[in-house]
Amino acid sequence: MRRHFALTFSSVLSIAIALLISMLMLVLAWNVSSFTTNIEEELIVQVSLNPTLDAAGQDELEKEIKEIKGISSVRFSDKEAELEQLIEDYGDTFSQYEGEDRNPLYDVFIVELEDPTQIDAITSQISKMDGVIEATYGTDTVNTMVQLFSSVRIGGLVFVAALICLAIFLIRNTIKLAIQVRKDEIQIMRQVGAMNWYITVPFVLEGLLTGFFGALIPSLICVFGYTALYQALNGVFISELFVLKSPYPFLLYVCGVLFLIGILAGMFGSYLASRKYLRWTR
Amino acid sequence: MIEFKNVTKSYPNGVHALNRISLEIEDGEFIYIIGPTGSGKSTIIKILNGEEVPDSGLVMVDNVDVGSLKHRKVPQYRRNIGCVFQDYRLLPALTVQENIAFALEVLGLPKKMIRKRVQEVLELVDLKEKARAYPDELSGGQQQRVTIGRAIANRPKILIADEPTGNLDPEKSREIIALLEKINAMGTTVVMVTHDIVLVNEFKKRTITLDQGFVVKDSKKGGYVSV
Repeated sequence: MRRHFALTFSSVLSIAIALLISMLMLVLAWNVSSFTTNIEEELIVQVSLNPTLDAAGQDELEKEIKEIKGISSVRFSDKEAELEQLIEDYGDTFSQYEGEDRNPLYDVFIVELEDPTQIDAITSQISKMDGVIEATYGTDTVNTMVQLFSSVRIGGLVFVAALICLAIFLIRNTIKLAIQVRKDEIQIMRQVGAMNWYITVPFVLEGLLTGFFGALIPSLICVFGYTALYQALNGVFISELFVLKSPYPFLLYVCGVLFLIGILAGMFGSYLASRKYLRWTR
Repeated sequence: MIEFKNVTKSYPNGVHALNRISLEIEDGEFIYIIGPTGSGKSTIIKILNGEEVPDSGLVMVDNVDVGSLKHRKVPQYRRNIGCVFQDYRLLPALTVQENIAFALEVLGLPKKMIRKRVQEVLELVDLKEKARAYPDELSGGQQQRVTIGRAIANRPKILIADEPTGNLDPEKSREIIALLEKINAMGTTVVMVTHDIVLVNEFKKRTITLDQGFVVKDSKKGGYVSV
């Protein structure tokens, strides 16, 4: 390793860059994933019931809704309770509707979902049922946001996977160069009858070290950078809805993943490179 | 014992390097293989070495069928064969004794044993006073002696020398032959590929002449005769 410092350094650096981007994507995807969970917890479908629906019809409807796949709970709330909630949330302007026969609201079922991505389908299914005036959920923005986050999450993972491949490729190339540099040495080793593993192992170890140092740099950046960011933003991003993950133990996971990727990619890349060379000839 | 039976080898580029060659080399022999460029000399060495596999025919070295040797068994086989090349192939960053020791370290021998053997070898190739010198501080003849020392450090049964005197003047070439004879006298079979006819005529040994992949002459009494 000492003998071709520049080469090793450049490969450490390229792996560090690949892992740095991986790290950013990981942190982003992980946080977005927890944002989504936060928002999803607030996603409910509000089913307004036709006032003419009698108690039996209401039970029937509740059973029907519960049978839909992906529903976690159905809760009944009458129009008085709904009005109280409204007054509580938005102020006394709505108090004028209090009292006999002046309440314009409907009795509702509050439906919670297991899988928020199904919210659109489930809502339209419910709204077609008998005795339902309308079924609504949050707003379109919330829905778009959920979709967006889920694609960011998937996109992030795909990106990380691509970068892992890149890291393997980079290490493989570096080790290939290193092998070129040490071709004479290897040739002599082969000539005097060194076993293939004897020749391969040092390169694999070198790849391991390269991967380790390559992971060290982004890990340090991640630990200090994220902690600083977390403190600067007070643990939330823009609004209370987006709660950042607390640095501990989250950062441990991220660094663990980085080292794992770095070391495995390093060993695997070197193994590929040296194997390929040794297979050229008998 | 080395035995070639009807060995044929051609390369993907269409060159027929060896055509139905049959040879027998007894243990402890010293033979020359001579012939013009492209006559198949190097191919014989590569097959003996395990680098190339014959297309057909049988190559037996000490009862090992070299052609059907499995990939991972090749290193083990190669430990019985020392190789010397025209271009020395020494590691420039290592001293003479380190270069010789390297061949033994690779085999995982104990340090003490290596040190002892390196001293023996240095004495044999007469380079004791150059033990700590680097290859580029040595003359061509001295470098070739280091290479020979490295090749025999592991006490192989067979020593293959591919044009060992190719880069040396006649004086130094004689020294190398003398050294090879010394090694041969200790029981090692020596196969030397050369096209130095002066040497072949001066140190007469069994001489196998190749041309275009055929054995055209196998002279027990040696010397070069034009065919």
